[in-house]
Amino acid sequence: MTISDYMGDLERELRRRRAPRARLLRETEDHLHDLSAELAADGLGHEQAEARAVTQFGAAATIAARFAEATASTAAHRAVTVTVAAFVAYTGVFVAFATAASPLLRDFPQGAGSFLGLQLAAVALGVACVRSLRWRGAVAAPTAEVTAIARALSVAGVVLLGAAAAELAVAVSRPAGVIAWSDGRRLTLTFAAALAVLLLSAIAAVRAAAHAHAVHSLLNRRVDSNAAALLADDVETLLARARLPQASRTLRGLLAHPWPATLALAALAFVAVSAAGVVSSGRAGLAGAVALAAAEASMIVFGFVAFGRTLGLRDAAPRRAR
Amino acid sequence: MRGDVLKNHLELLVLTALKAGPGHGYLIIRAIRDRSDGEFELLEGSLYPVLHRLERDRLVTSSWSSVAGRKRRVYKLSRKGRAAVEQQQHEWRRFERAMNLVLADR
Repeated sequence: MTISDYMGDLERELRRRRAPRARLLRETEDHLHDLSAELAADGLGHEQAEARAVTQFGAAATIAARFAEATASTAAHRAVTVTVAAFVAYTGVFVAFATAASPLLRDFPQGAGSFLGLQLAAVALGVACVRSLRWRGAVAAPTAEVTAIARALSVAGVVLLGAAAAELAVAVSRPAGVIAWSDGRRLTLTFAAALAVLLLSAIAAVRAAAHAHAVHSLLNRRVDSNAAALLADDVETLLARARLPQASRTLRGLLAHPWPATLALAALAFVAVSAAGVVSSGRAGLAGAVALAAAEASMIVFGFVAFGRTLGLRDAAPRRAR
Repeated sequence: MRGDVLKNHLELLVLTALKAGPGHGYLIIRAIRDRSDGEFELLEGSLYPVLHRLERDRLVTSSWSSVAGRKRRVYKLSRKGRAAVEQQQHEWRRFERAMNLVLADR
C-alpha cells in the first residue's frame, strides 16, 4: 500500500467516526514520509519503503478508532464545562426573574417552564458531572461512559432550550402591559445572553453525542444494557475517593431500586412544597400550594419515566428474542 | 516487546522522551526506539492519540514550527508535565523494585 492510499483510508475511517481530521492527517503524512525515507536510506526500494512505513504505522481503522476515542472523550469533558456554564447562566436569569416578579408566580405561567426545566436539567447535568468527574484524568474513559455523558448533556441542553422557548412563547403571547416586572429591559438582555450560552452548550453537547455515538456504534457495543450499573459504580468510586463509604452505600441502594426511590422523592417533594406554600401564604394559600406540590411531584415521576433510561438512571428494557 | 504490554506505559514513555527536549511525532517514536535498544517496537500511529490526551490534560503543549525547512507539529513538556513525569518515574521504580523482589529466585 502506498502512503497516498493509506491517507485516503485513514481519512475515511476518521470521517466515519466523526473525529477531527485535519491535524492528524497532516501529522500522519509527515510521519509516514519521514519513516519511508529512513527505510529507503536503509536500502529498501521506494514502494517497499512506503508499504513498510504504512505497516509500522498501524492499520487505518485501528489508529482512527484510538484517536476517535480520545477526541470523543475530550469533546464530552469540554461539553460538560460549557453546559454547566449554560446552566449557571440560565439559573441566574431565573433568579433575576423571580426577584423582579416577586411574589413568585404572580406572572404565572411565566417562570413555570424555567422552574421545571432547571430541575430536569440539574438531574441530567448531575449525572453527566458524576460520570465526567469519575473519569477525569484517566488515560481514556470507556466509550459507553463517554456516550452516556454526552447523552445526559444533550438532555440538559434540550430541556433548557425548551424551557427558554416556553418562556419566550408565554412572554410574546401575553398582552402588553400585563407583565409586572420591575426591570423588564435588564431581564430581557440577561435572558438573551443566557440564551446565547444555551445555544452554544446545546451545539457542543449534540456534537459530542454524535461523535461518541459514532465511535461507540462502530465498536458494536451496547450502550444501555448496564447503564445504571455503570452509574452506580461511578458514584461509588467518587464517594470512595471522598472517603464517604456510608453515603456510597446509601446512594448505591437508591440506584439499585430506582422506582421506589423516585416515588419516595416525589412524595417528599409534595410534602415539602405544600408545607412551604402554607408557611408563606397561610391556610388561604393551601389549595394553590397543594396544586403546585402535585405538579412538582408529577414532574419528578414524568422526568424519570421520560428521561430515566436516556440518563442511565435505570436500565434499558431487555430486548425481545426474535 | 508486545504492543499490548507497551500500550499501558506509552504515556510515561512519551513524557520521558519529551523530557530530553521538544520534538515532533516521528522524533518521539525514534527516541523511544533508540533508548530501548530497539526493544520497544510501537505501532507508530498509536502515538498520536496519546499525544492528544497529554495535550488535553495540559501535560504537553504543541505548536507548528519549522523543522529542517518543513512545518511540523512540535510537542513540548509543560511544567505540569515535568512534575507528572517525575512522579510517574518514581512510581515506576517502586513498582519495578517490588516486582524484582517478588520474582527473585530464593
